[in-house]
Amino acid sequence: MSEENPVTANELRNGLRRSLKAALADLDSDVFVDSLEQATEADRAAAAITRGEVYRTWRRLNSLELNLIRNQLRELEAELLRATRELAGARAKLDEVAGYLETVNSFLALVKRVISPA
Amino acid sequence: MNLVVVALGVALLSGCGAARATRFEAFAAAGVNYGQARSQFLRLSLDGNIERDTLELRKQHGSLDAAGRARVLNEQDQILQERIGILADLERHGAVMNQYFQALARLAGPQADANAAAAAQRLSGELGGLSDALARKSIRGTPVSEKIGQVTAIAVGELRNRALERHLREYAPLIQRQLALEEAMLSLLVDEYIEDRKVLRNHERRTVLLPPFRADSLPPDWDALRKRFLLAEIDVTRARAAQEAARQLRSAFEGLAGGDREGRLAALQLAIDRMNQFIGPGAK
Repeated sequence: MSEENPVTANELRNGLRRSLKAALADLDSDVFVDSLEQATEADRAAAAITRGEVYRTWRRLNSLELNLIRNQLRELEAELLRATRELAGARAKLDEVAGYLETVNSFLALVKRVISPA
Repeated sequence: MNLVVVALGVALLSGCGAARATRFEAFAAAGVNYGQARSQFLRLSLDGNIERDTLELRKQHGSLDAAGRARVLNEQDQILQERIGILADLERHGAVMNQYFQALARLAGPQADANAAAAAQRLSGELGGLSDALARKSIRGTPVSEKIGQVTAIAVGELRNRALERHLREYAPLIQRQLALEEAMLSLLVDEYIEDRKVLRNHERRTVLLPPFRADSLPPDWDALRKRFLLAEIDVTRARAAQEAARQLRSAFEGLAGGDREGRLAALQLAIDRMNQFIGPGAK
Protein backbone atom coordinates (compact mmCIF):
# COMPACT_ATOMS: atom_id res chain seq x y z
CA MET A 1 0.00 0.00 0.00
CA SER A 2 1.95 3.02 -1.27
CA GLU A 3 1.32 6.63 -0.29
CA GLU A 4 0.64 7.49 -3.96
CA ASN A 5 -2.21 4.97 -4.12
CA PRO A 6 -3.70 4.45 -0.68
CA VAL A 7 -6.29 1.74 -0.33
CA THR A 8 -9.32 3.19 1.37
CA ALA A 9 -11.13 1.52 4.24
CA ASN A 10 -14.09 1.12 1.90
CA GLU A 11 -11.99 -0.74 -0.67
CA LEU A 12 -10.53 -3.00 2.03
CA ARG A 13 -13.99 -3.87 3.32
CA ASN A 14 -15.26 -4.53 -0.21
CA GLY A 15 -12.21 -6.68 -0.96
CA LEU A 16 -12.75 -8.70 2.20
CA ARG A 17 -16.48 -9.17 1.46
CA ARG A 18 -15.65 -10.38 -2.05
CA SER A 19 -13.11 -12.88 -0.69
CA LEU A 20 -15.54 -14.23 1.89
CA LYS A 21 -18.29 -14.50 -0.72
CA ALA A 22 -15.91 -16.46 -2.98
CA ALA A 23 -14.89 -18.72 -0.07
CA LEU A 24 -18.56 -19.46 0.73
CA ALA A 25 -19.25 -20.21 -2.93
CA ASP A 26 -16.34 -22.72 -2.90
CA LEU A 27 -17.58 -24.33 0.33
CA ASP A 28 -21.05 -24.69 -1.22
CA SER A 29 -19.81 -25.94 -4.61
CA ASP A 30 -20.75 -29.41 -5.88
CA VAL A 31 -17.06 -30.34 -6.05
CA PHE A 32 -16.46 -29.54 -2.39
CA VAL A 33 -19.75 -30.94 -1.10
CA ASP A 34 -19.22 -34.22 -3.03
CA SER A 35 -15.65 -34.50 -1.75
CA LEU A 36 -16.94 -34.20 1.82
CA GLU A 37 -18.90 -37.42 1.35
CA GLN A 38 -15.53 -39.21 1.07
CA ALA A 39 -13.97 -37.30 4.00
CA THR A 40 -13.66 -38.44 7.62
CA GLU A 41 -16.22 -37.48 10.27
CA ALA A 42 -13.67 -35.10 11.83
CA ASP A 43 -12.95 -33.39 8.50
CA ARG A 44 -16.67 -33.01 7.77
CA ALA A 45 -17.20 -31.43 11.20
CA ALA A 46 -14.24 -29.05 10.71
CA ALA A 47 -15.59 -28.05 7.29
CA ALA A 48 -19.07 -27.37 8.71
CA ILE A 49 -17.69 -25.28 11.59
CA THR A 50 -15.39 -23.32 9.26
CA ARG A 51 -18.27 -22.69 6.88
CA GLY A 52 -20.30 -21.31 9.79
CA GLU A 53 -17.52 -18.93 10.83
CA VAL A 54 -16.97 -17.67 7.29
CA TYR A 55 -20.73 -17.21 6.83
CA ARG A 56 -21.11 -15.17 10.03
CA THR A 57 -18.13 -12.95 9.16
CA TRP A 58 -19.54 -12.32 5.67
CA ARG A 59 -22.96 -11.43 7.06
CA ARG A 60 -21.44 -9.14 9.71
CA LEU A 61 -19.39 -7.28 7.12
CA ASN A 62 -22.46 -6.81 4.91
CA SER A 63 -24.39 -5.43 7.86
CA LEU A 64 -21.50 -3.09 8.69
CA GLU A 65 -21.58 -1.74 5.14
CA LEU A 66 -25.38 -1.42 5.20
CA ASN A 67 -25.17 0.37 8.53
CA LEU A 68 -22.77 2.93 7.05
CA ILE A 69 -25.21 3.58 4.21
CA ARG A 70 -28.11 3.81 6.68
CA ASN A 71 -26.21 6.41 8.75
CA GLN A 72 -25.46 8.50 5.69
CA LEU A 73 -29.13 8.41 4.65
CA ARG A 74 -30.12 9.48 8.16
CA GLU A 75 -27.79 12.49 7.90
CA LEU A 76 -29.66 13.61 4.77
CA GLU A 77 -33.09 13.34 6.35
CA ALA A 78 -33.38 16.77 7.92
CA GLU A 79 -32.57 18.43 4.61
CA LEU A 80 -34.91 16.07 2.73
CA LEU A 81 -37.75 16.98 5.08
CA ARG A 82 -36.98 20.67 4.56
CA ALA A 83 -37.06 20.19 0.78
CA THR A 84 -40.42 18.41 1.13
CA ARG A 85 -41.86 21.23 3.24
CA GLU A 86 -40.74 23.81 0.70
CA LEU A 87 -42.35 21.87 -2.14
CA ALA A 88 -45.60 21.69 -0.16
CA GLY A 89 -45.33 25.42 0.56
CA ALA A 90 -44.84 26.23 -3.12
CA ARG A 91 -47.91 24.16 -4.02
CA ALA A 92 -49.92 25.90 -1.28
CA LYS A 93 -49.02 29.29 -2.80
CA LEU A 94 -50.33 28.14 -6.17
CA ASP A 95 -53.54 26.93 -4.54
CA GLU A 96 -53.92 30.39 -2.96
CA VAL A 97 -54.53 31.82 -6.43
CA ALA A 98 -57.59 29.61 -6.87
CA GLY A 99 -58.55 30.40 -3.28
CA TYR A 100 -58.51 34.17 -3.84
CA LEU A 101 -60.52 33.80 -7.04
CA GLU A 102 -63.12 31.64 -5.27
CA THR A 103 -63.40 34.26 -2.51
CA VAL A 104 -64.11 36.92 -5.12
CA ASN A 105 -66.62 34.56 -6.79
CA SER A 106 -68.48 34.12 -3.50
CA PHE A 107 -68.52 37.88 -2.98
CA LEU A 108 -69.86 38.54 -6.47
CA ALA A 109 -72.53 35.84 -6.05
CA LEU A 110 -73.61 37.62 -2.84
CA VAL A 111 -73.67 40.99 -4.64
CA LYS A 112 -75.87 39.51 -7.38
CA ARG A 113 -78.34 38.15 -4.79
CA VAL A 114 -78.49 41.58 -3.13
CA ILE A 115 -78.90 43.48 -6.43
CA SER A 116 -81.47 41.14 -7.95
CA PRO A 117 -83.20 39.10 -5.28
CA ALA A 118 -85.26 36.18 -6.71
CA MET B 1 -56.58 41.68 -29.82
CA ASN B 2 -53.76 42.70 -27.41
CA LEU B 3 -55.01 40.13 -24.94
CA VAL B 4 -54.75 37.43 -27.62
CA VAL B 5 -51.15 38.40 -28.50
CA VAL B 6 -50.13 38.38 -24.84
CA ALA B 7 -51.89 35.06 -24.20
CA LEU B 8 -50.25 33.40 -27.24
CA GLY B 9 -46.83 34.78 -26.29
CA VAL B 10 -47.13 33.48 -22.74
CA ALA B 11 -48.37 30.11 -24.05
CA LEU B 12 -45.37 29.76 -26.38
CA LEU B 13 -42.86 30.68 -23.68
CA SER B 14 -44.47 28.41 -21.14
CA GLY B 15 -44.82 25.49 -23.58
CA CYS B 16 -41.23 24.46 -22.85
CA GLY B 17 -41.82 24.98 -19.13
CA ALA B 18 -44.95 22.84 -19.22
CA ALA B 19 -43.05 19.97 -20.90
CA ARG B 20 -40.34 20.22 -18.23
CA ALA B 21 -42.92 20.23 -15.44
CA THR B 22 -44.39 17.09 -17.00
CA ARG B 23 -40.95 15.45 -16.78
CA PHE B 24 -40.70 16.46 -13.12
CA GLU B 25 -44.13 14.96 -12.55
CA ALA B 26 -43.18 11.73 -14.33
CA PHE B 27 -39.93 11.52 -12.33
CA ALA B 28 -41.83 12.07 -9.07
CA ALA B 29 -44.41 9.41 -9.98
CA ALA B 30 -41.58 6.98 -10.80
CA GLY B 31 -40.00 7.83 -7.45
CA VAL B 32 -43.22 6.95 -5.61
CA ASN B 33 -43.46 3.70 -7.58
CA TYR B 34 -39.80 2.90 -6.82
CA GLY B 35 -40.40 3.52 -3.11
CA GLN B 36 -43.22 0.96 -2.99
CA ALA B 37 -41.16 -1.67 -4.83
CA ARG B 38 -38.13 -0.88 -2.62
CA SER B 39 -40.18 -1.49 0.51
CA GLN B 40 -41.28 -4.90 -0.74
CA PHE B 41 -37.74 -5.80 -1.76
CA LEU B 42 -36.42 -5.01 1.74
CA ARG B 43 -38.91 -7.58 3.11
CA LEU B 44 -37.95 -10.13 0.44
CA SER B 45 -34.27 -9.67 1.24
CA LEU B 46 -34.95 -10.27 4.94
CA ASP B 47 -36.96 -13.40 4.11
CA GLY B 48 -34.03 -14.78 2.09
CA ASN B 49 -31.61 -13.80 4.85
CA ILE B 50 -33.58 -15.69 7.53
CA GLU B 51 -34.04 -18.81 5.38
CA ARG B 52 -30.36 -18.96 4.51
CA ASP B 53 -29.36 -18.27 8.10
CA THR B 54 -31.51 -21.14 9.36
CA LEU B 55 -30.03 -23.49 6.74
CA GLU B 56 -26.50 -22.53 7.86
CA LEU B 57 -27.47 -23.37 11.46
CA ARG B 58 -28.71 -26.79 10.34
CA LYS B 59 -25.47 -27.47 8.48
CA GLN B 60 -23.41 -26.76 11.61
CA HIS B 61 -25.73 -28.45 14.12
CA GLY B 62 -24.40 -32.03 13.82
CA SER B 63 -20.77 -30.90 14.16
CA LEU B 64 -21.16 -28.95 17.40
CA ASP B 65 -21.61 -29.91 21.03
CA ALA B 66 -24.44 -28.41 23.12
CA ALA B 67 -22.39 -25.37 24.19
CA GLY B 68 -21.22 -24.76 20.63
CA ARG B 69 -24.82 -24.95 19.36
CA ALA B 70 -26.00 -22.40 21.91
CA ARG B 71 -23.09 -20.08 21.07
CA VAL B 72 -23.63 -20.26 17.33
CA LEU B 73 -27.41 -19.76 17.64
CA ASN B 74 -26.89 -16.70 19.85
CA GLU B 75 -24.36 -15.21 17.47
CA GLN B 76 -26.52 -15.69 14.42
CA ASP B 77 -29.62 -14.42 16.19
CA GLN B 78 -27.69 -11.31 17.19
CA ILE B 79 -26.49 -10.72 13.62
CA LEU B 80 -30.06 -11.10 12.36
CA GLN B 81 -31.53 -8.80 15.01
CA GLU B 82 -29.03 -6.13 14.03
CA ARG B 83 -29.99 -6.56 10.39
CA ILE B 84 -33.70 -6.33 11.21
CA GLY B 85 -33.03 -3.04 13.00
CA ILE B 86 -31.12 -1.61 10.03
CA LEU B 87 -33.83 -2.68 7.55
CA ALA B 88 -36.57 -1.19 9.73
CA ASP B 89 -34.70 2.12 9.73
CA LEU B 90 -34.22 1.93 5.97
CA GLU B 91 -37.99 1.34 5.61
CA ARG B 92 -38.67 4.39 7.73
CA HIS B 93 -36.30 6.44 5.58
CA GLY B 94 -38.14 5.13 2.53
CA ALA B 95 -41.32 6.70 3.91
CA VAL B 96 -39.52 10.07 4.24
CA MET B 97 -38.30 9.75 0.66
CA ASN B 98 -41.85 8.87 -0.44
CA GLN B 99 -43.18 12.07 1.14
CA TYR B 100 -40.65 14.01 -0.90
CA PHE B 101 -41.70 12.38 -4.18
CA GLN B 102 -45.40 12.89 -3.35
CA ALA B 103 -44.81 16.60 -2.66
CA LEU B 104 -42.82 16.95 -5.88
CA ALA B 105 -45.62 15.22 -7.84
CA ARG B 106 -48.23 17.57 -6.33
CA LEU B 107 -46.23 20.67 -7.23
CA ALA B 108 -45.28 19.48 -10.73
CA GLY B 109 -48.77 18.21 -11.57
CA PRO B 110 -51.33 20.30 -13.47
CA GLN B 111 -53.99 20.34 -10.73
CA ALA B 112 -53.08 23.79 -9.36
CA ASP B 113 -53.26 25.26 -12.89
CA ALA B 114 -56.59 23.55 -13.50
CA ASN B 115 -58.05 24.72 -10.16
CA ALA B 116 -57.02 28.33 -10.84
CA ALA B 117 -58.35 28.16 -14.41
CA ALA B 118 -61.71 26.83 -13.23
CA ALA B 119 -61.96 29.52 -10.53
CA ALA B 120 -61.02 32.25 -13.03
CA GLN B 121 -63.60 30.98 -15.47
CA ARG B 122 -66.28 31.04 -12.78
CA LEU B 123 -65.20 34.56 -11.82
CA SER B 124 -65.58 35.68 -15.38
CA GLY B 125 -69.01 34.04 -15.44
CA GLU B 126 -70.00 35.90 -12.26
CA LEU B 127 -68.81 39.19 -13.75
CA GLY B 128 -70.82 38.39 -16.88
CA GLY B 129 -73.86 37.94 -14.67
CA LEU B 130 -73.43 41.54 -13.50
CA SER B 131 -72.72 43.02 -16.94
CA ASP B 132 -74.54 41.97 -20.12
CA ALA B 133 -71.89 43.68 -22.29
CA LEU B 134 -69.13 41.63 -20.66
CA ALA B 135 -71.20 38.45 -20.89
CA ARG B 136 -71.52 38.90 -24.69
CA LYS B 137 -67.77 39.63 -25.21
CA SER B 138 -65.61 37.10 -27.05
CA ILE B 139 -62.04 36.98 -28.46
CA ARG B 140 -61.71 35.36 -31.89
CA GLY B 141 -64.83 33.36 -31.26
CA THR B 142 -63.82 32.20 -27.74
CA PRO B 143 -65.86 33.59 -24.81
CA VAL B 144 -63.92 35.95 -22.53
CA SER B 145 -64.51 33.69 -19.52
CA GLU B 146 -62.72 30.80 -21.22
CA LYS B 147 -59.82 33.03 -22.34
CA ILE B 148 -59.36 34.37 -18.81
CA GLY B 149 -59.31 30.77 -17.57
CA GLN B 150 -56.59 29.83 -20.07
CA VAL B 151 -54.39 32.85 -19.28
CA THR B 152 -54.78 32.23 -15.53
CA ALA B 153 -53.73 28.59 -15.97
CA ILE B 154 -50.66 29.66 -17.95
CA ALA B 155 -49.71 32.27 -15.32
CA VAL B 156 -50.05 29.76 -12.48
CA GLY B 157 -48.09 27.23 -14.56
CA GLU B 158 -45.25 29.74 -14.90
CA LEU B 159 -45.16 30.25 -11.13
CA ARG B 160 -45.04 26.47 -10.71
CA ASN B 161 -42.21 26.06 -13.24
CA ARG B 162 -40.15 28.73 -11.51
CA ALA B 163 -40.73 27.05 -8.13
CA LEU B 164 -39.53 23.73 -9.60
CA GLU B 165 -36.38 25.25 -11.08
CA ARG B 166 -35.62 27.03 -7.77
CA HIS B 167 -36.09 23.73 -5.96
CA LEU B 168 -33.74 21.96 -8.36
CA ARG B 169 -31.03 24.62 -7.98
CA GLU B 170 -31.12 24.40 -4.21
CA TYR B 171 -31.63 20.68 -3.67
CA ALA B 172 -30.07 18.88 -6.64
CA PRO B 173 -26.89 17.87 -4.69
CA LEU B 174 -29.05 16.47 -1.84
CA ILE B 175 -31.25 14.40 -4.15
CA GLN B 176 -28.24 13.16 -6.14
CA ARG B 177 -26.57 12.03 -2.91
CA GLN B 178 -29.79 10.41 -1.69
CA LEU B 179 -30.24 8.43 -4.91
CA ALA B 180 -26.55 7.40 -5.07
CA LEU B 181 -26.91 5.93 -1.55
CA GLU B 182 -30.12 4.16 -2.60
CA GLU B 183 -28.23 2.58 -5.47
CA ALA B 184 -25.39 1.47 -3.15
CA MET B 185 -27.88 0.01 -0.66
CA LEU B 186 -29.78 -1.97 -3.28
CA SER B 187 -26.58 -3.16 -4.93
CA LEU B 188 -25.43 -4.68 -1.62
CA LEU B 189 -28.81 -6.21 -0.78
CA VAL B 190 -29.34 -7.63 -4.26
CA ASP B 191 -25.89 -9.27 -4.22
CA GLU B 192 -26.64 -10.78 -0.85
CA TYR B 193 -30.14 -11.90 -1.89
CA ILE B 194 -28.76 -13.67 -4.98
CA GLU B 195 -26.11 -15.47 -2.89
CA ASP B 196 -28.73 -16.51 -0.30
CA ARG B 197 -31.05 -17.84 -3.00
CA LYS B 198 -28.18 -19.74 -4.70
CA VAL B 199 -27.30 -21.55 -1.49
CA LEU B 200 -30.95 -22.37 -0.75
CA ARG B 201 -31.46 -23.64 -4.28
CA ASN B 202 -28.29 -25.74 -4.14
CA HIS B 203 -29.58 -27.32 -0.94
CA GLU B 204 -32.98 -27.99 -2.52
CA ARG B 205 -31.35 -29.52 -5.59
CA ARG B 206 -29.15 -31.81 -3.47
CA THR B 207 -31.86 -32.90 -1.04
CA VAL B 208 -35.10 -32.83 -3.07
CA LEU B 209 -34.21 -33.18 -6.75
CA LEU B 210 -31.07 -35.29 -6.87
CA PRO B 211 -31.78 -38.20 -4.47
CA PRO B 212 -34.94 -39.41 -6.30
CA PHE B 213 -33.07 -39.16 -9.62
CA ARG B 214 -30.17 -41.23 -8.25
CA ALA B 215 -32.63 -43.95 -7.19
CA ASP B 216 -33.71 -46.71 -9.57
CA SER B 217 -37.20 -45.37 -10.18
CA LEU B 218 -38.41 -41.78 -10.41
CA PRO B 219 -41.43 -40.56 -8.38
CA PRO B 220 -44.36 -39.36 -10.53
CA ASP B 221 -44.05 -35.72 -9.43
CA TRP B 222 -40.33 -35.46 -10.24
CA ASP B 223 -40.93 -33.77 -13.64
CA ALA B 224 -43.02 -31.01 -12.04
CA LEU B 225 -40.46 -30.62 -9.25
CA ARG B 226 -37.65 -30.14 -11.76
CA LYS B 227 -39.63 -27.66 -13.86
CA ARG B 228 -40.55 -25.57 -10.81
CA PHE B 229 -36.96 -25.63 -9.66
CA LEU B 230 -35.54 -24.49 -13.02
CA LEU B 231 -38.16 -21.77 -13.54
CA ALA B 232 -37.34 -20.33 -10.11
CA GLU B 233 -33.91 -19.53 -11.54
CA ILE B 234 -35.57 -16.72 -13.54
CA ASP B 235 -36.72 -15.05 -10.33
CA VAL B 236 -33.19 -15.05 -8.96
CA THR B 237 -31.75 -13.38 -12.07
CA ARG B 238 -34.61 -10.85 -12.04
CA ALA B 239 -33.43 -9.67 -8.63
CA ARG B 240 -30.93 -7.44 -10.47
CA ALA B 241 -33.97 -5.41 -11.60
CA ALA B 242 -34.13 -3.85 -8.13
CA GLN B 243 -30.56 -2.60 -8.43
CA GLU B 244 -31.21 -1.39 -11.99
CA ALA B 245 -34.31 0.58 -10.89
CA ALA B 246 -32.25 2.48 -8.30
CA ARG B 247 -29.57 3.18 -10.89
CA GLN B 248 -32.12 4.45 -13.42
CA LEU B 249 -33.77 6.67 -10.80
CA ARG B 250 -30.44 8.34 -10.10
CA SER B 251 -29.70 8.64 -13.82
CA ALA B 252 -33.15 10.14 -14.53
CA PHE B 253 -32.63 12.77 -11.85
CA GLU B 254 -29.21 13.65 -13.27
CA GLY B 255 -30.89 14.08 -16.64
CA LEU B 256 -33.53 16.36 -15.11
CA ALA B 257 -30.90 18.42 -13.28
CA GLY B 258 -28.71 18.58 -16.38
CA GLY B 259 -31.61 19.83 -18.55
CA ASP B 260 -31.91 16.65 -20.66
CA ARG B 261 -34.80 17.11 -23.05
CA GLU B 262 -35.75 13.42 -22.94
CA GLY B 263 -34.94 13.03 -19.26
CA ARG B 264 -34.13 9.30 -19.42
CA LEU B 265 -37.59 8.63 -18.06
CA ALA B 266 -38.53 5.84 -20.46
CA ALA B 267 -35.57 3.74 -19.25
CA LEU B 268 -36.49 4.53 -15.64
CA GLN B 269 -40.11 3.42 -16.09
CA LEU B 270 -38.99 0.20 -17.78
CA ALA B 271 -36.59 -0.55 -14.92
CA ILE B 272 -39.31 0.05 -12.31
CA ASP B 273 -41.76 -2.14 -14.25
CA ARG B 274 -39.14 -4.93 -14.20
CA MET B 275 -38.57 -4.42 -10.48
CA ASN B 276 -42.32 -4.64 -9.87
CA GLN B 277 -42.42 -7.78 -12.00
CA PHE B 278 -39.70 -9.32 -9.84
CA ILE B 279 -41.37 -8.28 -6.60
CA GLY B 280 -44.72 -9.68 -7.82
CA PRO B 281 -46.31 -12.98 -6.73
CA GLY B 282 -43.76 -15.11 -8.63
CA ALA B 283 -40.77 -13.78 -6.72
CA LYS B 284 -39.25 -16.10 -4.11
